[in-house]
Amino acid sequence: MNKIKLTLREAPKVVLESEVITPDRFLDQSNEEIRASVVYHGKRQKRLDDFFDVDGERSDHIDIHGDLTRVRHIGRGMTRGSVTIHGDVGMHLGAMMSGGAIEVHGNAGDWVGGEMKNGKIHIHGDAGQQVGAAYRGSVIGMRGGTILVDGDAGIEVGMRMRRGLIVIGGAARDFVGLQMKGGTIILCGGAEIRTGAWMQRGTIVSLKQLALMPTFAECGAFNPTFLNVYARHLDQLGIKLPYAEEQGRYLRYSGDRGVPGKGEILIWEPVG
Amino acid sequence: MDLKVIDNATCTFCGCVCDDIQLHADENRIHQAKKACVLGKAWFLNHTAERKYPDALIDGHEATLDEAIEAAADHLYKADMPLVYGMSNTTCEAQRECVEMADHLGGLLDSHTSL
Amino acid sequence: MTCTLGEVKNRADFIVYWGGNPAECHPRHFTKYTLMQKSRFLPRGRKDRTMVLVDIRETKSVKAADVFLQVRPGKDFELITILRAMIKDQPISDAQLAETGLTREQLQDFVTRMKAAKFGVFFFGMGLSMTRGKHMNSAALLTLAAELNAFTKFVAMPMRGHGNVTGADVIMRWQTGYPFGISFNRGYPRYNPGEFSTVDVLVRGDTDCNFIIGADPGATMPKPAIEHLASVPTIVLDPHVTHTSKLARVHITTAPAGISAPGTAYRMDEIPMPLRPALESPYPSDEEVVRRIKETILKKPDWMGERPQMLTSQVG
Repeated sequence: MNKIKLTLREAPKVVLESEVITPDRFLDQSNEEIRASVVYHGKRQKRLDDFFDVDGERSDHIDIHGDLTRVRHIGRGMTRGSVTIHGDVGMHLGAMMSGGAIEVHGNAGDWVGGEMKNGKIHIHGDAGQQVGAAYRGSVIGMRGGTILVDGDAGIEVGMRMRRGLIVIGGAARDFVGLQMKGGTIILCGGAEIRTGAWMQRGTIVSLKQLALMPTFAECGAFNPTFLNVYARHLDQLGIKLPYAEEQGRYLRYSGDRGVPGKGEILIWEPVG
Repeated sequence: MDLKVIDNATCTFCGCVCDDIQLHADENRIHQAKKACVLGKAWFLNHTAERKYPDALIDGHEATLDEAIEAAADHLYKADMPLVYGMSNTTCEAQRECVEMADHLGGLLDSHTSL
Repeated sequence: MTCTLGEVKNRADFIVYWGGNPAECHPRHFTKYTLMQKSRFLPRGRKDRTMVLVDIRETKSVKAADVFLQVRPGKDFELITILRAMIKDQPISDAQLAETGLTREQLQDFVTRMKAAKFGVFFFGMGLSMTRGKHMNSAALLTLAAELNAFTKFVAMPMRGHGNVTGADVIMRWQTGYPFGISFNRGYPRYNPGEFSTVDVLVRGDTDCNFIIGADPGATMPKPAIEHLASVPTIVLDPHVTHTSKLARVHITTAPAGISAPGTAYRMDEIPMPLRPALESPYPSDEEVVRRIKETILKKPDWMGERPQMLTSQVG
């Protein structure tokens, strides 16, 4: 497969805003055009090849190597193709994307998949704050697609999300699903406090016990049928969600009554 | 000794910004701050018009104001990502100049509020 | 959802201080604006008003309060969310209430008083906005105030701290449209606290020059931020040689605002007040120094060249 390979040569001293690194743009560009792409080192316009070695051209598959902690906005608004990052990456990865796939072999910064519409992001390390969240002043966060984080995540995971799926493999911090309006968040490693605060609708599934808000009401234990279907879908993504009755059951909590909302939190309770 | 009396002076120590303080001052310091609270009194009485500090310091050495302004402008101009921060203990007029400067610099602008 | 302190003085018959200690931090707040003043609508002054204090411990302000609600530390957000549920008559169990450290009687009484008030006001301090949850705690109280307007008039106002922080918010809003956490690096203002807010920026080390005016981050910020201040050129404008000045490449002494520099300062309710300085200072004012630095920068060749392009798909 024809690929474009970017290797970070010169580490940026301040933030490097490089929303030009998207499959959509590189698809029709020659090597020289890609090299000349404008990136912003702080306030100054620079060429992409001031910082990166660029191999290949005209492809919607991008491989990036290096410590990209200060490189922001990669894959912004992308609609197709793939971006694979070998190393850590900075904020706003795949923000507003509506298609394609991003894979990170390392950690990611804040706002991974902020307000994304579709597509898939897989972070093998940890993610920062506001995964799949709404930007400040915006009412709706993630609207679709999938975000998988194998490691831990920061605060406000899925803030105001409307649809889509977020899976956190490790532990999440405060305010998971803050003001969420729909969609699904799966917490494999539990979360700190205020999970589901002010949620209106949507589902949060936790495989570990949670410290819930006092405004959630307990409403029974059961094995929801839709989780069988969901578990099979997640199995394809490499995530095991328990659902069989002989293994345990889900305690269901409804809230947040402060809103008042009809969101649900399902907490797995294994047998024994 | 004759003291200059300033009626309806404004105290900027806390967010109350009381504007009914009566100050009694000579050339050098404020001797009395009537109607001010404990915090306000301390704030007014602790300031003097003395030249306690050098006009400016560059790399820890005393310098003139003109040199310092030149040096500050150089540093800010050269920077790729300057930050303008603070603006709590200053006037709105200075804050406006700060905003304009940050705009020209293309930098970051932030106040205490975000802490 | 706010008002001026003049309105509070004349109309507010129900006053809540949340996570603040006005008796010690804003000593004249009670007497000048909130509790003691008599007015046409509250002719008996203090007797016509009710004051509720919500805090995690007993402070000196408790003496001035009619009702003191001692909330368990770190449970403000939970308590406000419970109140949001209770004003809408949503059921909350006793076990869940107990988590906040308060009883059902206390909270029911609080809710009844809030709904019965003619003009209620929340003043919230650092005890709310600087503890775990931060901006969401403030957002919670603002939302509660907004929702109480279904029953009566209710407003919320932050108890701003030192000097002219309110002015900074107002001036930045006026000039840029955003109150803080702004970046101009693409040629137009963008707002994103967390990304552009100073503490986060300095801790990550994302700047290569810092201009500090009327603040002393060298004394208050976390260690990595202070180390970053020392590692890149920092410029400080302050009436004193501060902790930050000692880390800085350039320090300029300026006249203290309100003592010897004239100008305007904003009160916490966003009312501008003229300053009447009493002393002549040997130092120039902040305004003059910043203007001169700006003018020196403007004389240099324009760095921007072609205007930077917008960040595309900013709005989805």
